[in-house]
Amino acid sequence: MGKKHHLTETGLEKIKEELKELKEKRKKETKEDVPNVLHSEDLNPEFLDFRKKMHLLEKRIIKLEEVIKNAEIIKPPKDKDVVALGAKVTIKADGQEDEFLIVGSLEANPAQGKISNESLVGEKLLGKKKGDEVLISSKVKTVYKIKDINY
Amino acid sequence: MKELFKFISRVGELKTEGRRGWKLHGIENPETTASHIFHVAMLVWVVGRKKEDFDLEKAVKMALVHDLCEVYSPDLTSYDATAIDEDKEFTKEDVKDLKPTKGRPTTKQRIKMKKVKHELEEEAMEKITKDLSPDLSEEINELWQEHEERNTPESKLVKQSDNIINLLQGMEYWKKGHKDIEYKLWVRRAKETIDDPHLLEFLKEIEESL
Repeated sequence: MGKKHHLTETGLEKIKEELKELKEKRKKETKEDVPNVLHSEDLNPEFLDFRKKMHLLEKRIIKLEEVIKNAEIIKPPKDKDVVALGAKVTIKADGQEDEFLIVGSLEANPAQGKISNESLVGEKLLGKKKGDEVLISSKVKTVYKIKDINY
Repeated sequence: MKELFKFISRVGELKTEGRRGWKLHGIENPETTASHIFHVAMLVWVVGRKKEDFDLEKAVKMALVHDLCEVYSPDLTSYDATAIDEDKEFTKEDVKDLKPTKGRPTTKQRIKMKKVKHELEEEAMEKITKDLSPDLSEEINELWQEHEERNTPESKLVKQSDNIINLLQGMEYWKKGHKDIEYKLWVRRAKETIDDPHLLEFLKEIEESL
């Protein structure tokens, strides 16, 4: 049993889509002109490049298949007052309100408001309740006040 | 070969293009886009070389192309995003009217900015690569798109390295006396965006040095 990958349904669909595209790419690459192994008496550098490219493509396909096999869809917890994976959290920090979706590392995209549970902030917010104040402590200190939690 | 020469000459302009974010802080002779790219690529290499299931060559190339669009597209910053009205539609036409505002953008503002920035940068990438050979043009555009989508380990490392290098440079300017750089907000953002274990160590080092 491999490591569980916590994903939203949308996240899992995106990974399935990527896998489909990569498999199509693999099919296309191997159908097209594969460079000759030898160039004169030496190994053809184009063939070496091709082999490396296919090896990496294959590794990515294996990785995605492993992710899909061990995917666990994030479901809202029983206690919806607690921040868990998949929670949409409204916070207030430095006088400003903001909203984050807490997701696993594979799905994280901070520009879209999807914060990884392995980031310093994501990790600290997990398990906290509405009204809690979370101190992200180190040399630069920030307090995140949890205003709301939704699933 | 003529097209390749034109491409390389045009890309070279990034060596003299001072980054707009620093200019907004009144920094004279600021870091250029090319020197930023160099720094990001170096970080990606040294951090990425020991990663498993990781295409290092692709990641370094991705770092090299991640800001190539700035040959033609505007160098929009988070200060521009902070100026966006959260409740109104924001389009490409509105970019010229933005008045950069201090502070940090909210998620809603970031999403609006990202959409428009992507459109502008995609047009720029098309313009930069249109005369190149089809295979090179395709490779550059695929790397850039993958970086934009942030779905792969390589694109995630490049983006997070980009964040770390920005933070490092900003903190260097802050230490040199540019105290209007709100370092607390910058460090806070990094703690929301970085989850790579090696880059979290870098973040800790930067914070310790303040």
